[in-house]
Amino acid sequence: MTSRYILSATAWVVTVWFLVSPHAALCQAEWSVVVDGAPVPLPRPVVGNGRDLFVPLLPVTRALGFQVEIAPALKTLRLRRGAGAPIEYDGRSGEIRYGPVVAGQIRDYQQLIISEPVEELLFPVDGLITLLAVDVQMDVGGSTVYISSSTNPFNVPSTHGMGLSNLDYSVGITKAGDSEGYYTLLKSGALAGGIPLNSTLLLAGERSDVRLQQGTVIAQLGDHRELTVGDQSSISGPDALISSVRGIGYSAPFQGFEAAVYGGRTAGTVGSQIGAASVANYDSTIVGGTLRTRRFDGDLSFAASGFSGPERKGTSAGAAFTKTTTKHQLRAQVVFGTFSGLGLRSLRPAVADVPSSVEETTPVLAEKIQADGPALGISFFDTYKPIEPLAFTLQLERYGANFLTPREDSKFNAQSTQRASASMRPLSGLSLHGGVSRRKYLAGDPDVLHAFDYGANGIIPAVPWLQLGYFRVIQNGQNAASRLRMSQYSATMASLQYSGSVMYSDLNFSTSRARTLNVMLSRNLTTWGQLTLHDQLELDAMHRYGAEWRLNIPRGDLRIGLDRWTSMRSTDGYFVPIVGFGFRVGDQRLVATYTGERGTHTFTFTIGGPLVVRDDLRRDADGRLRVISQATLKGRVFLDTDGDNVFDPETEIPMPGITVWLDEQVSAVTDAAGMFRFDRMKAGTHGVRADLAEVPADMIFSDSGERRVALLPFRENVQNFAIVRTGSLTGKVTYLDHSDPEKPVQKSLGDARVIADSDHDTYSDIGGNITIGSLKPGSYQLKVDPETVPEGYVASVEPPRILIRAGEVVRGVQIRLALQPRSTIITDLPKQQSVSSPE
Amino acid sequence: MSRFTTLVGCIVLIGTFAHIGEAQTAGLGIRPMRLEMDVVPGKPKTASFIIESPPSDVDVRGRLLLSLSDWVIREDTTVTYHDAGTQQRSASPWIIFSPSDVNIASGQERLVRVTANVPEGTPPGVYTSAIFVQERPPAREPRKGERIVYFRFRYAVTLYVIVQPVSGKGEIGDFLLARDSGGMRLICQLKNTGTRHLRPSISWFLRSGAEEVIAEKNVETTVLLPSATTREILQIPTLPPGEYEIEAQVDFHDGQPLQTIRRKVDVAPLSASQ
Repeated sequence: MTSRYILSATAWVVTVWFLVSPHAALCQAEWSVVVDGAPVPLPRPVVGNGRDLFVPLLPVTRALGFQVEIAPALKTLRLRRGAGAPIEYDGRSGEIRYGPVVAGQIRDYQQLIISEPVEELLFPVDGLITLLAVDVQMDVGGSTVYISSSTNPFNVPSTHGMGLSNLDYSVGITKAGDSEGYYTLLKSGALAGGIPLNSTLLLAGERSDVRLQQGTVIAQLGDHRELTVGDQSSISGPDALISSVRGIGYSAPFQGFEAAVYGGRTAGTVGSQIGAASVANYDSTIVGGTLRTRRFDGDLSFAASGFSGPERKGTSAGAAFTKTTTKHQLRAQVVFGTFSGLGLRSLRPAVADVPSSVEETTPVLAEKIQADGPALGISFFDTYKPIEPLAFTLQLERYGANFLTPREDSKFNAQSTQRASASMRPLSGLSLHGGVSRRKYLAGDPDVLHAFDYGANGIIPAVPWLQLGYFRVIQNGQNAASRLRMSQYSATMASLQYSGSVMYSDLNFSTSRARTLNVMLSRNLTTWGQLTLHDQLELDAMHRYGAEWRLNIPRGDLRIGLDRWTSMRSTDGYFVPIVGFGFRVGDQRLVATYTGERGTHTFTFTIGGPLVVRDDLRRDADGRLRVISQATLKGRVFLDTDGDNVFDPETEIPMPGITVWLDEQVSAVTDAAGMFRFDRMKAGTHGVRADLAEVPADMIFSDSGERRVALLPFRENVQNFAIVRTGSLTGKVTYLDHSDPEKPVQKSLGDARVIADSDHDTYSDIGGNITIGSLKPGSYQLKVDPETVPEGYVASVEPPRILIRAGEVVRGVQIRLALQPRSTIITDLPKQQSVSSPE
Repeated sequence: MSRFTTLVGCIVLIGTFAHIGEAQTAGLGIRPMRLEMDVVPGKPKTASFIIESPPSDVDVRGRLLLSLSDWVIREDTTVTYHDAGTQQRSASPWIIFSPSDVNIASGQERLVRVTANVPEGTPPGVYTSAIFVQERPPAREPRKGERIVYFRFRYAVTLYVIVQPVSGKGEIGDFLLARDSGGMRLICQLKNTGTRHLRPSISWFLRSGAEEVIAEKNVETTVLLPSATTREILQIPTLPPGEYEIEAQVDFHDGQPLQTIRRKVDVAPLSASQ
């Protein structure tokens, strides 16, 4: 009962809104609905105007043979015709679905309320088109909505079917000196047995040794369940347990947790190959699981795993908690386990902020350490921002002497690290930062490293395009080999036309010293691209300088450069040419580069892009599969000589050069075969219009040439436009002049409006002559507007029914006006009694 | 001059200046006012133009009649209109258009399609026609003793039907200074010996002696039809006696170099009899 009131109120509001709108005059016209040529009785009037017209849904669906159900609680409408696929309108999202296929979305769907009784339900015409897969033509002048069943076949993809929805690829070849590296990366989405699958495959190798390096298939099973087969790049859980696992994994909701289990081989070491990303070496076995939940406004997780490899093995369990607020970024975890085997200890600088360029220059010092027994790993990290320009960071980590991870990673092996740092911005153009750290090795040769660093970045107010920076690191250890001193000075400039930088670093590590000066200057040449000059000087080592020019060209870019390398220790030197280009052909991207380092000429060639783009497979909030796909529209414009609206290639003529518009936004011109096509269009209701402007003047579309149609995925959306040759008629309008009642005379009548149909009429000239052209072939009954003829006259047309044929002129139509004979009322009275007459 | 031409000329002139008596439309917009259709003989070609009635506070309605006409440009650059199909190189017999009459109201626009069906074997050249757009005159005869004068606007959409290959070739025939009762003017004679119409533009200069420029102007001229000659009249200020140099630089827009013509001319004082 309540829903009935809601619906009535909604309908009333919708009705009133349209009645008071600027189109009120049109709104008040009584619209009628014709389905497949038959008028449909409506239990309530149509409201609205044009595209915003709302029609009673039930009579239309019944006329088309649909059964309709309403689920008001779910704001859902379900339809089915015969044994066809179920069609559903979801009022929560406005989506119309054919089975799992999203066929479209109703705009402003929030205004549409789905409630009982279904007999009262009004539905927008635009939504109706997609919901029922019908074509609609609006006759605004005649206030009629013409709905016609689409003859296009519609195949709903089966949820038990299989198909590839998208496939992206990338293929690369790198030749460096005598080495050759190859890689192929494939990413795809597919549907198998109604289950969406996302797959990634990486094949890589050198020369003939190309093999599958990585491969992952993820199956979305619905209800937030997921099965992963192949390589998993990360396993959720405390950081210490993160490893790349090759095997099988399964995740699903469990008792308020997101639970995941996995098992297989894990990477003990990671190597690299020419032309490919890092490649994991799966030499250990691992099983494990995690539980993750949202607690205390943060993420809480528990994890456990066991692993065994050629160098180490262990079993561990732990918990982690992360929380982010406006003032804190907190991460804490604890892991306990028993381990045995060899770990890795690295003697790289302990300072976290050492620039990568410097880090690359530091010598690699590492050693293997033996572990055996229980160990605890604790990690705490927090960044605290009491006020905006000020931040403090505290990092505490301790991984016991026996702590090991499946992957050879020194970060978690037998060391204790404490670091505190702060940054602040006292002025808008100046920031200062600094920190102290302590690292202690807990196994092997004991050592304690102390380090502190500080630095500043800022701009001079008078020179806003120039930024200056300074950074200083000092590290001391018990071992002289771990001592480090580094200073770095930098200046960076940026303007619209120019950009550049100067950086000088002085690094003393252990017994080695490296002083490096890097200079770069770039000029934006607008249409002529960008020119960059660079100079890299490593004192007492080498000097490299050169220039590079990048130019954007149609569909791609070019890159040409030349460097000069000279040794600072000898007279050795050579030139390094750099040539590269990138092109985009359609969706495909091709990139090739060549660098001519002496002894290692390197050539890289990659090509990639989408091979298949069909649709997108997703699960909605209810866990149901949704297939979101694009649609294609094609059709033909042709001269329909037999008037059957069907193209006969033997006898009928295609019409090239006709522009067809889709939603008045994109257009296509018909080719020599009269065909037009729109690809990759969003599914749903669209307006399609063939432009009359290019149709020969003696022809016209057999219908209005403008339709609202449903573009549905997985079917051939075909809209043909038939053109017919027009005909015309000529005639004369006369009237019987009774000025002389004794001798009425037939005279010509001017200014009489003669109507053939709603689109074709004319006025007679002074001689009474009429011509009506551009008439579609068919039968016409001419009428005369009574407002334009003398009072009391009525018209008779000879012939009363006129048959217009294509390209023909019907002549001699006679319209005669005559005074309508006045009706006479005759009353018969009873016989009167005899009346005596005086004799 | 035929009666029809005279009548049309009068209507156009009067209609331009006269008060609109019972006119039903308050002016129309037509775009484009000129259609140039490259055609292949034997294949129909369709173009179109739009008639629009500007929005108005008062709802104005009217009925428009469309009809074909021929036109020519005389040497003095005046345009005359003639019955359709009566002129040499008329395209009117090949033209069909739709609609031939149409209702229009304020704020509405109507599409008119024009199709040229040029018969096979038609020699290359430029053929012309025009479509008049005008309000329908009332068919009512004046009552006894009643005299009614209707003034109407009439619009002409000019049509060029071009059968390739054609090319224009313009040249300057003469350039002189003339004086008559209306004052002084420059007369530039232009010739088109090619087969395609041209739309020349003239930049003229009037110098005192050979240095000082005392007048100059850029002028878009009347269209120069194939095998036609026109005399473009360029208004100049009245000059005192003396020696002058007149120069005209003409761009025929035919892909050829600009053409310049110049001459010296003496302006003598008027005698008493003049």
